[in-house]
Amino acid sequence: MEAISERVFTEPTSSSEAISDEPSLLTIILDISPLGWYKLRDLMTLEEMTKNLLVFLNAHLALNNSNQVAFIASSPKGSRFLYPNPAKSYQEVKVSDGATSARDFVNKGMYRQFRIVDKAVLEELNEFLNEINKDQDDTMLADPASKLSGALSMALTYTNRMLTLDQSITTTTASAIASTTSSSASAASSTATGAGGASSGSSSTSMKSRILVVSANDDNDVKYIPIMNTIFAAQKMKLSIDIIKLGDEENSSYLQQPSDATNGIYLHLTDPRGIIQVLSTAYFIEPSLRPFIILPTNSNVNYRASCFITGKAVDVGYVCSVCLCIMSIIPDSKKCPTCNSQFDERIIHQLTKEPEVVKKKRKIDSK
Amino acid sequence: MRNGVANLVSEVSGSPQYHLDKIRQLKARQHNKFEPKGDPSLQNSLEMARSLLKYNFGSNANNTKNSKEILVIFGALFTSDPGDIHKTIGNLVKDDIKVKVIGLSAQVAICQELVNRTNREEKNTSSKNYGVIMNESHFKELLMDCVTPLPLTEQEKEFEESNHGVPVIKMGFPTKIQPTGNSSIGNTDFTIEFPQLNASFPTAGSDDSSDVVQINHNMGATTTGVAVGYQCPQCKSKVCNLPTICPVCGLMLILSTHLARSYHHLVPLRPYKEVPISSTYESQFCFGCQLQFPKGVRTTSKSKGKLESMTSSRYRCMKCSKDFCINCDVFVHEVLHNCPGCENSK
Repeated sequence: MEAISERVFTEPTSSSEAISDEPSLLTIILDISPLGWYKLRDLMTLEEMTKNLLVFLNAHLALNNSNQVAFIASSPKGSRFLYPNPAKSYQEVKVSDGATSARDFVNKGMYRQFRIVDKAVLEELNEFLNEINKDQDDTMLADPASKLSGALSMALTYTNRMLTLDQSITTTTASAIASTTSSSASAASSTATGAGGASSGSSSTSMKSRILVVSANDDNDVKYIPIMNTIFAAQKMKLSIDIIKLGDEENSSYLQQPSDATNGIYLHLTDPRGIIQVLSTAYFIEPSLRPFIILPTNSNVNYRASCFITGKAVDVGYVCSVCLCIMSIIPDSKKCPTCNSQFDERIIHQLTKEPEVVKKKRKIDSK
Repeated sequence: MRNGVANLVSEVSGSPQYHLDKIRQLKARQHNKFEPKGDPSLQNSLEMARSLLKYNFGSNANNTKNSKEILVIFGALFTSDPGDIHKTIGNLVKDDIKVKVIGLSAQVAICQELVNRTNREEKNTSSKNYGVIMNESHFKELLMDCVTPLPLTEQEKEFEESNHGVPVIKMGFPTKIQPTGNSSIGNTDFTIEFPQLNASFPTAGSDDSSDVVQINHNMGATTTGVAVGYQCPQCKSKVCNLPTICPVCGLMLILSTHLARSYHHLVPLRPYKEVPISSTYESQFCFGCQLQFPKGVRTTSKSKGKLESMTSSRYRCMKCSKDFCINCDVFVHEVLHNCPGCENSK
């Protein structure tokens, strides 16, 4: 009995010292494109999804004192940081006790950090949805494409700041950083009281980070090059992009590629009702621990590229040898649409020729 | 090269990360079979490299588009070969493989000949393809010189000119496949596909046991879920590594990430412009990282010399007129190649 309990206690301490002592940043990108969520309306609402994600965020915060989270909502109208929102003050402390009943970030029965994140995300999300509803006239119809690349870019810039800038902290940026996480009045007090997040910045250990994308968007109409650029940036920064795909389409190639290329997890959930279980089992594991753990991943990754002319995903395409532009059809002008170089006639002829029926063979057969 | 034998550390692959991992593994594992030992054999290693290059790039129709290079980093002052190295050099010349050598100690005649013959230079001329390092920074310099792609030779140029226009290449973008074992949780409510179960070994956390796990993991790689392949979209045959040419239908198979690596050169991001100093600014926070900008100040004699009066700290994208901080500016232009503002507003 003693041996067993001792083993339990010794194992995690030694491994956590080696691997998971560094703080970790988790950025969640929630795609709130109306169409995708409308399709899911019988299974899950956006509100329930957000609740589940908040539980997940809280669990992440609870894991390590200096863990950090960020929450980005991405809609066809644009993306927005729900948390941390630097314009809002999360330090609604006892300055005016009675007045701040509407949005007090301190609750007696709740860990402060949890409360702040929950409250801020829900409030901002409501605000954002209201804004979208308000001017939902022609802007939406004109361009319903997903802004996932934008949200990913924002997440990466934010991660970049957290990863690199907070290490080499200088006095001027220190106050600025501290004031974004907790924009209290004086810089001196903010660094002192800076909640969790700011204090971790001063430590020289590099932060680990990952991005979790939750998307119910079914159409493949995302911008190809920006997504690819974010993949390469994420690879350079050694962060994983995890994807949860809801909705009908199983193999969203543009969502699979980021997760596969950055060593993340891609899961397609047909039924999102048990999502918190999936979140806490599959997605909770730090990227550094992932080699040691059997993870649920999808087996088939669709590495389709996007055609530059039609914008559709292609399996087999033609590639210009000068600029590597991908085409699903050879344009009539026989010129590359991107770099305008003339294609070789002979090779085009070879590629486009119909299969020929060889008659000679038949003669031999008949003989 | 070690003990007269050429050892393959990392196979021919288009992914830089794959090679880096292999080299890192090599560095991490002490007392392994790659420990320096015995005499080097230049011939063995060259032959190995030659066959690797030859069979991985194939002698197909598009052979002329490839350039094949070998970079030798050579520390020894001699080579102990099983056969005639001059024959090997002749074969290299025949296969159009260029060899570059970086010597670590002193110039060696055979290396000089190797470089001169494979690069089609005059005999015994000092060339930029053979350098001997003087110090560490010089090594870095020589190594970086090798990064630039080879210039076209006269022959290739003629071939290029005889062609009218640039060739179009038909390429396939295969699907990654993995052998899986399915397991459903509960009833049919939702099914999660797990990769085939790897035997998991308890790690006590000590260095010894983690080593054990590492080795087991590598040994299991061939049989378990780590084995991944790619399926040709045209004929559904399976290949292990990309980029390659489909062995069945001859279609060039490539990952879209290989191609997309260079796309930011095609669509370069316009530089941001610094916002002129004023007393009030439209933006309070960096659009990318949410960093708070310093507030605008009135340019009085008092505040001169302060950071706020010297610069606005805001860098604006001219297309989407969003403001970014200097660090995001650098990051966006050097790493990301995406403007977060434009991506969200387009």
